[in-house]
Amino acid sequence: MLSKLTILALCLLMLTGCWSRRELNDILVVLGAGIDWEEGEYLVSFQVVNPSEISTQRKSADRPPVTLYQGKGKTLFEAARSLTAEAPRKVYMGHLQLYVLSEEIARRGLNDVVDNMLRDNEFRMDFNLVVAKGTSASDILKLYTPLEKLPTNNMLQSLETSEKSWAPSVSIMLDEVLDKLSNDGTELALTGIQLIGDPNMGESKKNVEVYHPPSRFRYTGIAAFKGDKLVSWLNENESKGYTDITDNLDSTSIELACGERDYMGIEIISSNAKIETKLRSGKPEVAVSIRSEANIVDRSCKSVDLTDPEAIKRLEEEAAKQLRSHAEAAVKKAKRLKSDILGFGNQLGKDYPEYWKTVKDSWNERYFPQTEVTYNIKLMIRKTGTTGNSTLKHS
Amino acid sequence: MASFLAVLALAGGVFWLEAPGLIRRKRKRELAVFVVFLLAATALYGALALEVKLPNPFMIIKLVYGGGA
Amino acid sequence: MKGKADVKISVRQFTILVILGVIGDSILILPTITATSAKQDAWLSMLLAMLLGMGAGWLFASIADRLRGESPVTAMQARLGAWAGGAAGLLLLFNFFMCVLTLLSEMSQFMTTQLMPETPVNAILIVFLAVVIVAYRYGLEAFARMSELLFPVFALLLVFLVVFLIPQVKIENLQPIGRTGFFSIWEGALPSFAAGFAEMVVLLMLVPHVAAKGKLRRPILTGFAVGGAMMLAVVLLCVTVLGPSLMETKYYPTFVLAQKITVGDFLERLEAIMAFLWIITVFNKVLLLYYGLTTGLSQLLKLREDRMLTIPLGMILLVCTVIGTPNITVYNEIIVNDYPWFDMTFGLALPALLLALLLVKRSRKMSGE
Repeated sequence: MLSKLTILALCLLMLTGCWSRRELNDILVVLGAGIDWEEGEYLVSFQVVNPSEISTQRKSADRPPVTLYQGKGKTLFEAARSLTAEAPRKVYMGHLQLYVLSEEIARRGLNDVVDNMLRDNEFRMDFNLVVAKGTSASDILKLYTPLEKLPTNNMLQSLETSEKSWAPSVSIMLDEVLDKLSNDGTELALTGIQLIGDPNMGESKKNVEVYHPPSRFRYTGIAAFKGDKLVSWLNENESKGYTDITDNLDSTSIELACGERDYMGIEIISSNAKIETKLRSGKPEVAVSIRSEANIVDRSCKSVDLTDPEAIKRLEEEAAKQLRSHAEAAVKKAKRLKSDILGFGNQLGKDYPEYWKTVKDSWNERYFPQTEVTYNIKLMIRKTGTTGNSTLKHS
Repeated sequence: MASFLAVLALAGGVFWLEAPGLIRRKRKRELAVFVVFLLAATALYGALALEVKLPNPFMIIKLVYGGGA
Repeated sequence: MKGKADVKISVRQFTILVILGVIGDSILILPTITATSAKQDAWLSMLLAMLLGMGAGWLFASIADRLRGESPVTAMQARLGAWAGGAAGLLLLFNFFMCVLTLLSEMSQFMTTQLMPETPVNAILIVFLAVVIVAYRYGLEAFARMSELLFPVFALLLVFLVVFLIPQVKIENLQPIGRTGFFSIWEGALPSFAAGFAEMVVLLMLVPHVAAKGKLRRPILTGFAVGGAMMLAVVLLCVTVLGPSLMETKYYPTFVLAQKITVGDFLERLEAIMAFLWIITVFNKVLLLYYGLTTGLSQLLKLREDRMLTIPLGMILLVCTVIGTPNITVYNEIIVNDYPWFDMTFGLALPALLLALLLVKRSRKMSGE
C-alpha cells in the first residue's frame, strides 16, 4: 500500500512540470540576429516573429510579421539581455536561421562572437552566418521582403538556392565555422549580403506594396578571412572559383563570347572538384581537378552550329577555359591575401602529415603563396536543351 | 532555516517509516545501524541546508592520486 | 519475506545489465575527454580501451566463476578474517560510493546545462534518487526485468541515431589516421577504460544472483564486447559527423549529435527523445552501483535486512554530490586526471587480490587440507 502511494506521489511530482518550463507565449522566437559594433559596444539586433501576424487564421491589425529588437552591451550576453528593457519577453534562440555579422565586427575578429554562440545552450549548430557588406547588420534585418512573410526565411532560402544555382555564395553553418576557425589548414570564408536601394524605404511596408521593391537584399561576393578577421572581398569570378574548388558548386551559368555582343549561355548542371597534393623535392604542389557537366541553354551566336560535334568540342574547351580562369583568379587572390581559404593546407595535412607538422605554422605566410597549383579541368556538354539549331532567322 | 527544518522533518518521516517495522521484527542490530546512518544523513543534509562548508569528497581522491596522470 | 539468496536473474538479464553498465555515463562525457587527448584518433582510443576492457572482463569472469555464488564482500571477509576482510570490503564499497557520486554529478550537470538550466540541482537529484530508491526496494528481479524491457528501446534509439546521421558522416574527418601518436591515443584510452570497464567491478556483486553456476565468463565478456562496440560506434559517429574540433569543444557531444539529426527537413529537433538514451544507461548504472553499495553494506555489517538503509544512503549520496561539484571545472579536472587511477586501483588491483585469494583457497582445498 505504501509503495503504491509513493509511486503515485512520484508520478504526481512529474506532472508539475519542470522548473525551467517556458510556455510558448513566454518566449520571443528569434529568427535572425545581427551584430554591429557601435561606439565601442556591441549592438545586437534580433528579428523576432510576431506569431499572430503569420497565422493564417486571424487577420489582426496591420502589424508587421516580424519586429526588430536591439540591445547594446560590452558583451553579447549583456546586449541580448538589455533588450528585455524593451521587449515583452526573453529571447529564445533555438529557431535562429540567419546570423548577420557587420563588416566591422568581421574585421575586428569573430572569435568572441563565435565563442558566445558555442557556449550558450539554446543555440543550435544549424544556422547560417553571413557578413553584411556596405550596410549595418541591423539594416539588413529591418528589410521588408516580398514573397516570404518572414524576411530571414527569405534570405535563408535565397542563400541556399543561390549556393546551389548561382555559385558566388556559400551557405556556412556554425559547426563549419568552428571547424575552419580551429583548423590550421583552412581559412574561413563567408558570403556577403548587401542592401540595394534605400534602407529607409526597406523598413516600411511600402517596400513590398510595389512590384519592384525599391529596397532589396542581394548576396554579393565571398568574404575572405585570415584567422578570425576579415581581410578582403572576392569579386564574382574569384567567388565562383572559390565555390568551384571547394566542391560547393552545383550549378551555375557561364557565358562564352563569340563576337562583340553575342554570348553563348552554358549551364553547368553538376561539378565535382578534387584537390590532390604532392610533395616534390620538399615543395608542396597542388593539383586541382574539376569535372563538370553542362548543357547549352542560350544560343545567340550564328556562327555556332549546334549539330556539329566539333562545335560542341570547341565550346567545351572554351567553357573549361573560363572555369579555369575563375579558379586561377581565386587562387591568385588567396595567395595575395596570404590566406588559404581554399583548404589546400588541410588536404596537405591529410596526405603528408609529417611534412604538414613542420610547415603548418608558416603555411599562410610562406609556403602557401609559393605552392604551385596545376589545373585539370574537364567540362562535358551533354545536352542542348530541347532543340538543336532553332529555325529562328537571325538578322 | 526553513530548509533545515524540512530536513529534520524528512529525517523524522524516514524514522517513522522504517523504525516501527524494525522494532516489531526485533532487529536490534539493524535498528542500530539504521539510526547511525540516519543521524549521519541528517547531519550532512542539515549542514548543507545551513550552508555549512563541507569538505569535498573528491578531494580524497585528489590527495591520494594528485598530480595528474 | 523471501530470503535474499533466492533472488535470481537470468543470464540474459545479467548480460543486459552489464551492457548498459559499460555504456553508463561514458556516452555523455567520454567523447569530449578522448577527443581532447587524441583528436581525430579518439576512436582508436576507444578501441584500445575496449581491448583493455576485455582483459578486465577476463579478470572479473575468473573471479565470478570461482566465487561459486558467493558475494565478493563475504568472500573477502571469509578469507581474510573479520578485520582485514572488512577493510577490503569497505574499500570496494568506497569505490562504489564514489562512482555513484560521479554519475549523479554528471547526470545533474547535463540536465542543468543542456535541458533545464534554471532547475536547481537539488530537485533533479531528489527526483532521480527517489526513483532509484523505489527501484531498489522492489528488488533485484524487478530491476533486472526493467532493464530487459528498456534495452530494446535503448538499442532502437541508438540505431536511429546512427542511421539518421549516416548522411552526415564525413570519412575525411578521420584523417590523418593514427598521426596523433601512440601516447595521445593511450592518454585518451585510459579514462575510457576506467569509466566503462574498470568501474564495472560492481557486476561481481550480482554474481550470487545469476542463475548460472560457474559459467559467467561468456555473459561478462559478451556484455563488455557489446557495450564497448556500442561506445565505439558512438565515438566514431562523433568524430566523423562532428569533427574533432566540435567534439572537443562541446561538453556533451552526443547531445550535439542528436541535435544534428535532420531527415528530409522534416524529422528534426529530436534531441529530447535521444536524451532517453543516456537517461536509461545512467539510471541503470546508478542502480547497479547503488545495489552494490547497499547490499555490500548489509553483508559487511552482517545485517539481515537492508531496506531501511536506502533512504539515509540516498540522502548522504545527494549531499555528497552537491558538495562534490562546486563547479564543472573543478569536477572535470579531477575526473580527467586523477579519477581513472582511482578506478583502476579498486577496479583492477582489488579484484586481482580477490582472485589471488580465491586461487589460494582452491589450491589449498585441492591439496586436501
